[in-house]
Amino acid sequence: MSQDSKLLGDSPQFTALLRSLQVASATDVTILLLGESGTGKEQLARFIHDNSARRNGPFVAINCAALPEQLAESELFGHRKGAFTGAVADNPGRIAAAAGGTLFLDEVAEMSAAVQSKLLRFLESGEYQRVGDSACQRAEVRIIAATHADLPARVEEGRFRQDLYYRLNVVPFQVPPLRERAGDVPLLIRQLTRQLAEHHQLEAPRYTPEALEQLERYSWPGNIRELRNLCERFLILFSGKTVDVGNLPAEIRIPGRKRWHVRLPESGLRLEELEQELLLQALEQTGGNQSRAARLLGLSRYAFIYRLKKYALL
Amino acid sequence: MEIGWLGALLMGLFGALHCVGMCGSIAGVLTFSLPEQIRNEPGKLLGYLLLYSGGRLLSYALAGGLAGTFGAGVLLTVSPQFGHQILLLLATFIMLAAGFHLAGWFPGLANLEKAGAPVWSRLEPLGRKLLPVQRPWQALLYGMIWGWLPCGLVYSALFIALAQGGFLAGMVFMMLFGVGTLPAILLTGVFAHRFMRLARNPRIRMYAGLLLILLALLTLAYGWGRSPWDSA
Ligand SMILES: Nc1ncnc2c1ncn2[C@@H]1O[C@H](COP(=O)(O)OP(=O)(O)O)[C@@H](O)[C@H]1O
Ligand SMILES: [Mg+2]
Repeated sequence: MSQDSKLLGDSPQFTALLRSLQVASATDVTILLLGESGTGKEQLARFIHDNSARRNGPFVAINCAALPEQLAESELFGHRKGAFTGAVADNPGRIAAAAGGTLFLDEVAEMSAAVQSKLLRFLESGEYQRVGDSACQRAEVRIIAATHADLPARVEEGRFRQDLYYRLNVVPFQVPPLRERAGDVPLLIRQLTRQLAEHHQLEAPRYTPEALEQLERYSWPGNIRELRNLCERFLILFSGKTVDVGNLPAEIRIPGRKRWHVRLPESGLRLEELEQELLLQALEQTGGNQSRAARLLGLSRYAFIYRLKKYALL
Repeated sequence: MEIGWLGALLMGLFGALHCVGMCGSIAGVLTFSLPEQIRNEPGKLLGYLLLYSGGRLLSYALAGGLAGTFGAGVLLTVSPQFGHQILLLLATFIMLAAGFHLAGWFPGLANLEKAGAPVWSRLEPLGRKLLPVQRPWQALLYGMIWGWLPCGLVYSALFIALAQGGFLAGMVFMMLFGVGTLPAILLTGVFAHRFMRLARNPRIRMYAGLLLILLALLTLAYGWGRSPWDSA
């Protein structure tokens, strides 16, 4: 394993998980990794693969959330040339690519119904068909699935097949969120900073004890991914200098302050359009009461009306 | 020490709720990596599961016997008069810690597991050779290795076994503790997904923790006046 992909963490919660995954890696049992996003599920899937007898075989990851529905099926199962417009060549698919190794199904809860039933058939019989092909294919793969979603709830809502759920949920492993990994935050900051500093050829920043304390107290909704990004940001902004409490982002500095979970679409957006939309929604929610709408947006009535006028919404 | 034995049983029974996070997954792996012809026959399957746990209990018993011998030896040399009380206090303290830990009020106990990590890193590669298990003896042997998996709860029980008075008493204590863990471990092995949800329920864990705390205090009150050597 390269230095870069070494799994960091020394908390009892994390080492216990590694120990039990090590046992799992000695077998071919289907594994389901449950945990918030950024907790390292993909890394852990690799850990299982790298410790298993299949380590010299392929490790193939597919993110079920990232693929549009029509594409997911042909990505996973493959297709024949001419099966649909755009299928200009045969594609063996990811299952075939993983033969003799491990197939990692990330964000498995986001799979479409069609792909779910095809996958179920594959798990039950080891057989599947490429898109546009009636011949049966066989592949011998070890399955590791992961999700941050509440799968039983998805099953109840009818969005996830119960039979597939039972097939995947043979041995579930709960990956602890960073906030429950006692003592791992300072350790990860230290080691990630060292790795990143080496990678960027920059001198690592130092953290004051107060800053570290505040970082330890933070809830890390984005888990290790969030922590890593922050370390990288500080490395670049504070290389060779000292990070104090005042330099921390507001959501970390001020406990209880919520971080926004808005995702910027890949196609981008127009900030002014978003602002207009929010102004209108605030007015809608308060039945046109300008004072209350202003309060919803954390603005004074004056500032609110100013913005309405600016966009000619008044 | 009858109440001590009851304590061991209950400690295993409720304490194991806390362990299903890790041990439940391992039990699941051990169950579902068995060949299909074994898994499809409930009688055979149960046999293998009992062999796994039987092996685990053998390791506990051995460790308990050693702890009992060691405790008795130290006691007789250091303080034949008050040694029993000292060990009993220590055991009560550990059991209280385990109770608080289970209830979620004292996460520090898990750090005990670090002590066992070196032992496990020697044994794990040996155990790996036995997987996937195909024969009964492999299940028993794997279970014996599994018994040395670092676990804060097992270590707490071992501390209490120190105060049991000798090899046999320490062994019985740990055996009973192991028997107590059977329901949780056997259930998680087979119904991992359903049982783990229950065991993660903070309220259930809190009640189990409170019960251990009560038990620790009872053991102390009952055991204070009697030394395990008086009757001998
Ligand atoms: N234990 C760990 N040690 C070091 N880096 C980690 C660890 N776990 C996760 N990471 C890093 O955190 C990021 C998110 O990990 P990932 O496995 O993609 O999480 P998930 O799949 O749960 O969203 C990645 O950059 C990964 O390298
Ligand atoms: Mg991921």
